[in-house]
Amino acid sequence: MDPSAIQLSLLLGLLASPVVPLFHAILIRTFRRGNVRLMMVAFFLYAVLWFFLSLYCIGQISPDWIIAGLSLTGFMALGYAEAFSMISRGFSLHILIDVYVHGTRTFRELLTQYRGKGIQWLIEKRIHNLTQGALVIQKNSTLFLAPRGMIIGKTGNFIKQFLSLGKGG
Amino acid sequence: MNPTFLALLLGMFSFLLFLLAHIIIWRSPLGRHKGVGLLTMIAAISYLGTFATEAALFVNGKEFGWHWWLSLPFYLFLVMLYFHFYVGIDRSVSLRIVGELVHAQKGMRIEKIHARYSPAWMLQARCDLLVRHGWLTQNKGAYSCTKKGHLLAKAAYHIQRWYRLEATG
Repeated sequence: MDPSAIQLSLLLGLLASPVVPLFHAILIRTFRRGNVRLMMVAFFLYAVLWFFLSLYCIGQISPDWIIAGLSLTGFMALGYAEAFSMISRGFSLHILIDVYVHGTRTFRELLTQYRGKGIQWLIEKRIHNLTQGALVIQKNSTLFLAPRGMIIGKTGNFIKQFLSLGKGG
Repeated sequence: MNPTFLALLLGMFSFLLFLLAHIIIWRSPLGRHKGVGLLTMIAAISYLGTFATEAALFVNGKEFGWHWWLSLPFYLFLVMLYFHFYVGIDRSVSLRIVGELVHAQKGMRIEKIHARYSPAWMLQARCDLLVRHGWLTQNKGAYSCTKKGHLLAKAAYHIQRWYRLEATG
């Protein structure tokens, strides 16, 4: 195990990490959509950049620096995904932004005009996504769990109960 | 034993230690403080636990902490992966809806889901949290940003605009 090669790989992984938001923003602006796939592409480009930079600087392939570097790039990518998720979907953050944009907001205004659509829209959107994802089946105004949804639901409930998390959400 | 493999084993050992501590604490009276902050603290202490174990076992006859450059990034990657999983389980509105449907043998009417997941309750809980943590203030029924809330909201707002994010949620 060569510590200096691992250290260099980690350093290059850290230095290259700002390209993730850059690549991601360029992809969103180019393709005019903000889905998860574009984020995955940005991560892939980051990993490729890190790999070739490291190979150029270190000069030879070795599992040590590759595993260390991939672990770090994975860590940075997941951290970015979490931060981006909060910025794009975070409920509390968007309440804050709503209040910031308008100066002040009453409870009623937040309830009916949250992001221009109202809080009710949050639930309706999720129900729509669950039916699109074949986890839930809608018949008239009634929702039923699809087999896949039942597995996920039971697993989620078990984990929440095991970790004493309450109902969550 | 191969040093690379041993370093990865130590990283995995730290992660299992983290999971064990996490489960024990979450299911104990200390679990009332559960959250990402406490989880981070457990993660940090768990890795230090590896060093304590290493010192006790004097693993592989090498100098103390030899594995750090490889085991730590690997461990951080595993922990970040788990954080994603944990936050998803704990905060996902969709998973909460699916969890509710598990117990509804004959399905559930959408109105009942809205009633169980009252938008007003969701919003009030988040607003109370934001006020409690000093991001918002409430005066004569209207919310406004505190200084730190203003800074965070402004930064998030401009980041959203840079990414050209539309209303999601």
